[in-house]
Amino acid sequence: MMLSITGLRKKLGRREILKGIDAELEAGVVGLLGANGAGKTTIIRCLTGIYDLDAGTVAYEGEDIQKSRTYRPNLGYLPQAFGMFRELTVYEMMDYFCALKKVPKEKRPAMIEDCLQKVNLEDRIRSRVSTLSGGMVRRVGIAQSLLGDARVIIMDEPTSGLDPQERARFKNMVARMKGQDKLALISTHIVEDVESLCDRVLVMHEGQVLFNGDCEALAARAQGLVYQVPSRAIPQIKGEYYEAQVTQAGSRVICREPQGFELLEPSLEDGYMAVMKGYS
Amino acid sequence: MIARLRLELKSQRLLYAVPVVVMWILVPLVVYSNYLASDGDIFITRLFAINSAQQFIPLFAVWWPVFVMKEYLNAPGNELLYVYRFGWDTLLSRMLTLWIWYGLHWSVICGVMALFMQRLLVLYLLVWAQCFFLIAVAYGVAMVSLNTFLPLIVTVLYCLGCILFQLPVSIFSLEAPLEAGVELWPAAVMLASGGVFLAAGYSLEKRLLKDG
Repeated sequence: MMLSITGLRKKLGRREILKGIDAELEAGVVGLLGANGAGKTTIIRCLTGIYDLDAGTVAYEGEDIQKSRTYRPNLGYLPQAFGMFRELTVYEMMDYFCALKKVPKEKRPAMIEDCLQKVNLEDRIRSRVSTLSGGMVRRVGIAQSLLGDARVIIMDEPTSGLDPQERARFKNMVARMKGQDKLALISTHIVEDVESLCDRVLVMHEGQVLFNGDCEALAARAQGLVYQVPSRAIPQIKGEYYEAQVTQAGSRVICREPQGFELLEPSLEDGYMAVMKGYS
Repeated sequence: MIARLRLELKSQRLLYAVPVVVMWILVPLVVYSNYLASDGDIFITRLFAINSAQQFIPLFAVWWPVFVMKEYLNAPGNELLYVYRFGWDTLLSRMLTLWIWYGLHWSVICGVMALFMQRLLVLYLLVWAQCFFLIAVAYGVAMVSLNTFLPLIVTVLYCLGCILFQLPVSIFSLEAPLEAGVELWPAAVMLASGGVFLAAGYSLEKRLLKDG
C-alpha cells in the first residue's frame, strides 16, 4: 500500500475538522470529493506533513511520513493557491523548487523543460511569472508538482482556472500517470473531472470518509434513485430534486425535457449526491 | 539553502538594490557633504559619519529579511515552502545569513570610511550589533503578527525617532561611541536582547502553519 491513513484526527482551534479518517491508497489516480468545509484541504495538509496530527498515523510504504526519509523527496504537491516569487522567471521558479526538492543540479534543466512541456509552457520558460495569466501560473504550479519524478502527487483543485483546452491536456497528463506506480490524489469540486480521471474516489463529509471505492461503485449507490420526470410534475415531488439541464450545441438547443417517469442510469454525480444526502 | 536564498533575493528585483544604494551611495554622499560644509574638518566629519551610519544603516538591515519573510508568511500557496524543509533550513537561518550578508556590505563601506578617518572599530561593531538587534526584532514581530508590514513599520518608526532626536539606533546609549572599549556595552546588550527576540521568534516559527 502506498499511503495508509489510520485513525487520523485533526483539530483547528476548537473545531475538530477530521474525525477519524481511515483509508488505504494505492498507486493510481484517486479523486477527493466533498463539499466546502468537508476537510479536504485539511487532510491534504496532513498528508503533506504541513499539519501535525492530533491522533492517528499516515504511513508511506509502511513508514510514518514524519519519520520517513523517502516520502518527501517522492512527494509532489500543488496547493489550492499558488503564486510565490512572482518576479522570478518560470525557469528560476522551477529551479527554486528543484533545489527545494533536492534534485541534482545536472538533472534540473532537462527535468524543468520536460515538466513545462507537459503543461504546454515550454515557450514561456524565460517569462517572468508576474507576466503570466492566472491559468498559466496554475500550470506552472502543476509543473512544479511533477518535479523530482514524484511518486505521490497531491493536487488541490488543479483544474481551477484552466481553460477547456488545458483541462483536457491536464487530463491526458494524469491519464498517462496510470500504470506508472504513482499515486495522484486530486481534490476537486468538479465531479466530471473525477469521472474522467480517477480510478477511485474518496467522498468526504464533515471530516469523515463517507465513501471509498471506484467510480462505478459510487455511481451505483444511486441505483434506483434517479428518475426523469415531466417538468409539470416537479411541484408534486416530495423531497429533493435537481432539474435536468438545458444545453446549447451549435445552432440546436438540446433540451433534456423529461417526457415521463423514467428510471435513469445514475451518473457519478448522482452517486455522490446519494452518498452525501444519505439516501444510499 | 543559499541557492534558494539567492533566488529569493533575486525575486525582489529593484527592491534588492535599495539598501545597497543607501549604504554605498546615500550615506557616503551625506558624509562627504558634511565634510565640505565643515571646511574639511575631519573631526566634525567623523562625528557626523558615526551618527549617520548608525541612523541609516541599521534601518535598512531589515529590508531584505522583511521581503523574504513576506513570501513565507503571505504569498499564495506559501505552505508549499514548508513541505520540503529539513533541519536548519528555516527562516531563522535566513535571518542570520542576511544579517551577515548585510554586514559584509557594511564592512566594505566602513573600510572605505576608515581610510579617511581615524579608527572606526567601535562604530563597525556597534552597527553590526544594531543590525542584528533590528533584524531580530523584525523577525520576532513578524512571527507574532504573521505579517511583514508591522515589523517594517516598527523598525522605521523606531529609527525615524532616533534620527529626529539625533540618537544613534540604540535604546541604551544616548551618545555616539567615540573611543574603543568605552561604549561597547550597548552592543552586548543589543546582541543579548536580539538573541531573545530570535529565540522567541524561532519557537513560533516551528509552529508556523502546524495548527492552521
